[in-house]
Amino acid sequence: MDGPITVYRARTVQTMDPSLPTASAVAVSDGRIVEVGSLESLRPWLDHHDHVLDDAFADAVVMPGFIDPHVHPTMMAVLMACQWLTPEPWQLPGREVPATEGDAAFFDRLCALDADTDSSEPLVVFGYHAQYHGPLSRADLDEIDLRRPIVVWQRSFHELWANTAGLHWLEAAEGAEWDPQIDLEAGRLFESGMIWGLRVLGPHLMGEGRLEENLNAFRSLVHQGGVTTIADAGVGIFDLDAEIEVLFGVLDADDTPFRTHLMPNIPAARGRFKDELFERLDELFHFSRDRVSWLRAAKFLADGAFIAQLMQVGFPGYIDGHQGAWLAEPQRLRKQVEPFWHQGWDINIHVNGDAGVDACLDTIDALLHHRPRFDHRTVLHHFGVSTQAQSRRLAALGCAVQANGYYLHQFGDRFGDEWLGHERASQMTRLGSARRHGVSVALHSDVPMGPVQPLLAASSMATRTTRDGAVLAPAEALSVPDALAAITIEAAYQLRLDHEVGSLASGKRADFVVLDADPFDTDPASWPDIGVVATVVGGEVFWPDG
Amino acid sequence: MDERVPIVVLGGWLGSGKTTLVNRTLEHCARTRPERIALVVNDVGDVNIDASLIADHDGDTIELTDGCICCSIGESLAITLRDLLGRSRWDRIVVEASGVAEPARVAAYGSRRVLAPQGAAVCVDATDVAERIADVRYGPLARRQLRQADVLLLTKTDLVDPARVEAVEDLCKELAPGAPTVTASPEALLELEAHELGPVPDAAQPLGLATRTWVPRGPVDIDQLVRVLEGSGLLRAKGFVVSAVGVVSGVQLAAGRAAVTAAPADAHPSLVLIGESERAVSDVVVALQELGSG
Repeated sequence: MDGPITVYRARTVQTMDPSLPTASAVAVSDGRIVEVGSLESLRPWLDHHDHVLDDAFADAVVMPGFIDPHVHPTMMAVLMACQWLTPEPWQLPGREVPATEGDAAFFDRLCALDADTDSSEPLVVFGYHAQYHGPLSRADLDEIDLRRPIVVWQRSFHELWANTAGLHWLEAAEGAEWDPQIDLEAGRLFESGMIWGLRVLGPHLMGEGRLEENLNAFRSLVHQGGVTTIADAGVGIFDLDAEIEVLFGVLDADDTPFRTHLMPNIPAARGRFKDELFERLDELFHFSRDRVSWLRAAKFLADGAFIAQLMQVGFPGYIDGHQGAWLAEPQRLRKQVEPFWHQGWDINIHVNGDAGVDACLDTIDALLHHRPRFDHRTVLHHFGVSTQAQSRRLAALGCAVQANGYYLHQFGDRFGDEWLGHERASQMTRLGSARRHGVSVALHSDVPMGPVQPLLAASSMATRTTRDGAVLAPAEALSVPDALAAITIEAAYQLRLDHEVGSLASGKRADFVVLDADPFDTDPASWPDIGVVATVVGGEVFWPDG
Repeated sequence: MDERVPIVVLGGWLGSGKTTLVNRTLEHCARTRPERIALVVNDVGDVNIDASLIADHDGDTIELTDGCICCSIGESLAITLRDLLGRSRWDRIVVEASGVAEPARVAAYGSRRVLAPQGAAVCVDATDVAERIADVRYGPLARRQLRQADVLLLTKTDLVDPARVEAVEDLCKELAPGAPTVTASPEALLELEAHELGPVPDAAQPLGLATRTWVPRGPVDIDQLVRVLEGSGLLRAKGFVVSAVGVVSGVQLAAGRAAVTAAPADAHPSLVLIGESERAVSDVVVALQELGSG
């Protein structure tokens, strides 16, 4: 320890460390915590070292900085180049996006966006969701504007809608010749058809410095949520090399108020590195920096998306009879995961439906029998629909769950009536059971799937309350300590960073979130109203923008 | 003369022998065929052929010494096919569908101006097809794969006894009437010739139900009827028929099992058939028309 000690006094320090749950002061030096306690208990340190008493947080509550262990910074930056028209409200840097529900409201706002934005540029709008906004067609969009290209990107990223000018812009006529998932008449490009559209749309949204500019703005989005550690759960979604360059270029700076940890999207990395996959991934570790570093964690994807209802659910399937999708069918998933398991990587699998969860658990079960590993911390991400039996099996196999805390909040009201039926929809993100069986539970935003607001996610999972106020399967609620651990120490555990962050204790990093109320003393329903006063990263204080 | 490049889809359930057939086909082409074949597969990493036949291998693409090529589908089959056609002149293209894909959907990719679809060859694993199609979760998809075949390629026949092979062939006839069943071989795959393709199901729509009413032309053999219905893949069937000895019977099909019950003598002979698609139901109607009276 070289530098002087700074002592932060607080109304309460919530450490998230059960050995010393609360305190009134934290001593920090060289970016790490010297000791947690009170001015009196810190006395032996203060008697022997230069120190400064900082009372900036004296009336506030200090907690370990929140951790969002699954975000997509570059994807969010790409979307931030779009106009937003979403069913739910968003707080984006420099703009407030109101919730828009209903056909008429959707078209009114689309017209307003068309009128209010630079007409020499295509209008690209993100956030359309048929369940909230009604049907959409090329003819509808032509009515809004015939000359200016309009492209509407669906909320769950699976389809684009375009007016006639937009179809020309995306070269959709040529695409339709090759791809049956481009419907010119309807103005719809879905699934593989959307990939065709992205050939033009991608460069438009990312080019001319836009990606850097928006990733820069993304930083304040993370900061305002009180988050000091994020993990990019799948670098390579668009373009591995370009993403690595921009992530380090923008986020690895002393003025970035959070640490970024990267895990490669394995299908993408495999496409890029081919036969040299492991050699090239190992090389990447040499490029880890202070604020941006690589995790030895690999990201795989089992089944389709929750928001699009493309997850693989078992019997009785979906009410309307549609089929889910595999991103890697069970045998392929096993084949993808196996070499990483053998090399001792941490395994992270995107999975949403119960049939997908089976595929993941079967894979881990088989690999454990083949080659046992202690402390493997395999994490199942998202965890939309699962069964009680799977909770027990997760525990038995040593797997952890990292759920999207916003599914229930945002979509709990609708998914029962139209897709899953009440029983399964009400039990989405079955976290209470997982905890009762001793499974590690963490929460993430998966931004842009959900907003970076850990207190909202924790509140939603502690109260099981939807946006419309319905309470769904209260028995699956997390306790207050479990809900707060899910955005701090359990998230750290799942990233294998629990020795560094996620709780406040001597030796750990001085990463705090400073709140204007104590969540342990506040009704969980009101957690979203708790204000973030500031964050501290490596002992440096970051006040809110402006 | 049709200048378009013939394109064939190779389908079949996971583990049904597609990759083995792909490997054999590449070897076959490299050793014997003068034609330039392009094989588009799920994952080039699965391909395993004699290294002496490989001219170049960059991970996603294997170029063979005879000019044939094998590449991964990648993110978009449409873009992969377009790039492939832009790259060289091919005599034939074979696309391997994923084990859980429907061949008819895969066959819908590619420009009809430059490609001439020849239909789908679907691998049938003689050792386990019966269990596959009976599976609660995956059975309907496995049956759809077979139903969409223009030719069925039997694999692993050496692992089962001849009586079992015969039973599997009968099963194939029931599930995919009109599609010949042959032993899997590169020749069978490459010689598939133009077939009128069925309508492409819309991936985004729920697979809607199709209903038809079949009115028998006369008495029917009840045992045969039960066999056809149980092998039909229909979701539900219900109605009345007159048996060979003139007795009116009720017939019900649910969960793949048919039940025959007593019925009022004045019940009108007709059978309502409910399946997952028009094609599935009309295939059953064709099979029912061929029923003898016993």
